[in-house]
Amino acid sequence: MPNVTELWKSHWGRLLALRRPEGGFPYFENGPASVEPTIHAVLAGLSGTVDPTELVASLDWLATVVKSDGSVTGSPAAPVEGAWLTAPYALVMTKAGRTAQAAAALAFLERFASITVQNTNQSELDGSLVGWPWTDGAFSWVEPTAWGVLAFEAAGKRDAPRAVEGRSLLLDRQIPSGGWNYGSKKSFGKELIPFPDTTAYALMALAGHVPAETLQNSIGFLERDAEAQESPYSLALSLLALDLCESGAISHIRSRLAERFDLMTGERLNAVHLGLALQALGNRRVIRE
Amino acid sequence: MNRRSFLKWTLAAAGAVGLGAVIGRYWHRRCRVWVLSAPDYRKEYAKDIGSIMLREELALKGKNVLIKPNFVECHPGRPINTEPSLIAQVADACFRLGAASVTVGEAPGHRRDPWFSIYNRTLREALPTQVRCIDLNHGELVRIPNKGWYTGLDAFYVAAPLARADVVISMPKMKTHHWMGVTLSMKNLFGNLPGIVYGWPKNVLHFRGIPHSIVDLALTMPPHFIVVDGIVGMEGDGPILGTPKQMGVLVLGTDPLAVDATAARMMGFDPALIPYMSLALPHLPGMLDDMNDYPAEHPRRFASTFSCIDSFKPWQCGNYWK
Repeated sequence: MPNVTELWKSHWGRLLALRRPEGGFPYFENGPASVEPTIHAVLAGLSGTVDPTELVASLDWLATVVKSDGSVTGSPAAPVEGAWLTAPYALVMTKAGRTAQAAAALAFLERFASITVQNTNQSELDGSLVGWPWTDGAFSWVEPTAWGVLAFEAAGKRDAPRAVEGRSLLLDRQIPSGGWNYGSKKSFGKELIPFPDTTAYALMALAGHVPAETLQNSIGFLERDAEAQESPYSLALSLLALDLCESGAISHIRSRLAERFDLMTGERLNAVHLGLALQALGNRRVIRE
Repeated sequence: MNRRSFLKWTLAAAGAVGLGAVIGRYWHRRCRVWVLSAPDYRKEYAKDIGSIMLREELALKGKNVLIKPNFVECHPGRPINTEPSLIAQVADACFRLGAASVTVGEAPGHRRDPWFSIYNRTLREALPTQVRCIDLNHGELVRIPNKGWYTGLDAFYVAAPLARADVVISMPKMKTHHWMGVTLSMKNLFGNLPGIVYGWPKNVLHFRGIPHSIVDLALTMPPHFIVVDGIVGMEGDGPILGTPKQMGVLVLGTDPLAVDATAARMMGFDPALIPYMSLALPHLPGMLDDMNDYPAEHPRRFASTFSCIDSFKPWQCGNYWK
C-alpha cells in the first residue's frame, strides 16, 4: 500500500489544481464553480493537515451563492432545483466555524420537508414519515435525508425532531437483508438491490443512534461489497461509513481505495469523488466525528 | 398530482387523442421506420446503420456526436442496458460518416455512482479508445426553454456536453417499464437531465407527470436519430428487475413517436393506450401505423408479446398486425 500521507498530499494538490479563480471548485476540469464539489473540497481540506487559510476563498465563494432564505442549489446557473445541497452546505459551514451561515441553512432545513404519501403494498414503506427531498415539493430519499440528519448532528442538534424523524425514516427504508436502495426497500413484493453509496450515507447518519444489531446486515453488505468494488466513489463512502461503525474491514478498504485513485483521470476526474476519497483517507473525521 | 389535476389531465389527454388522430392523419407527414433483423450482438451492423443514417440525410461530417444510450446500472444476466458492443457499432458508423468526435453520455435516474453506469468497464472496454464516456448527472449546466407546456416548467437544465453536441443519437433498450408500460426513445429522454438538478430519481418530473414530462422533453430536445436495441429486450418487471426477451431486431429512425409506437406494437402494446404516446399524438408524427413506411423489414415479422406487470395487461393488444 502506498504511503497514505504522501498519497493524500499529492491528490490534495490535484484537487486544488481544479479550483477556479473565484474560489469555488467545478465538478470537472475547467468547468464552472459548483456548490457540491466546493463543499467536498473544503471537507477534504478539513480532514487533512491543510492550513485553514487555504480554504477561505472556497468558503467565501460558497457564501456568495447562498440565497436569501439560507438555502443553496447545485449551481448558480440552475437556481431553482436541488435545495438538498443546503444540508451538506450547513454541515461544512458548521465545521468551518461560519456559524451565521450554518444557522440560516439549518433554519431552512427545518422548513424544507419531503411530502408524505399514503402507505401502499407496492413499496411497503411508511409514507407518513417526513425526511428530506432532493427538490422542493418532492418525496423523501435516502441520501438527502441522511445529509439532513448529519447536518443537524454536526450542529449539536442530534435530538432535533426533524433529525429524529429522519433517522426513523432511514430505518424504515432499510432493506431487511441489508443495505439501502435509493429510496424504497421493496417493489411489488421483491426486495430491491442495495447500493453501496446510499448504504454508506444511511449508516453514517444512524451509527451510534440505534442498536448495533439493527445495522449489522447493512454493515455486512458494505463489507462484502467493498471486497470487489471498483468505484472509488463507493469505496470512499464505504470507508467513511465503516470507519464510524468500527468495522474490522477498514484497513483493507483503505488499501483498495488508495489503489483506485489512478482511475480518477481525464473525464472521470470528478472533484466530488476526489474530495470524498481524500476525506476517507484523511487523518480526521469530518462529516461525522 | 392531486385527483383534480389528474382528472383534468386525463380529460385533456383523451381529447388530445381524438383530435390528434384526426390531425395525425391529415396534417402530419409520413414517417420512415427502419426495422432490421439483428439476430445477436456478434454480427456486424455498423455498415447497415451507416447506410440508414445516409438515407435519412443525417449529416455527420465534422460534427460532434453524442450517443445517449440507456445505461443505468450493471447486473450480469440482466438486459438493463443498451449493449456496449452495439453502442460501439453506432460509434463506428458515425466515424465512418466523418464525425469529428463521438461521446457517450448518460444521466442515470437512480444510481448516482457513475462507476455503475457510464464509467463501468463493460462499456469502456467495448468502445473505441477515441470515444469518451461522460457523466451527464454532474457538471456544467445549460438552460433550455421548454417548448412544451404540459409540465408547466419554464425550462429544462441539461449537461453542457449534451446541449452543445451537434448531433444526438438516442439508443434506448426495448424494455417494459413498471410505470409507463414500455420504455423506448422518448422515455430515454429522462436520462438527458442531470440528477444534480432533478435528484435521484428525477422526482420533479414524476410530480409534474411522467407522460407530461416525456412529451415536453420530446418537443424540447428530440434526438436527431434513434437506434432501439431490441436484439435482447426486457419483459416482466422492467426496466431493472425484468427478464431477457430475445427479439433479434433493431428499430431505427428520426421520428421518436414513430419509432416508439412501432416498437411498442412489436412488444404487443397498443401505443394509443400508452399515456405518453397518446399525449404526444397531436404534436409529433408517427403514431398511426398506416402513416408510417417501413423501407426495410416490416415490423409484423417481429411481432411478439412482452410479459408485463398486471396493471399494464389492459394496454396489450396481442399481434397488432394479425
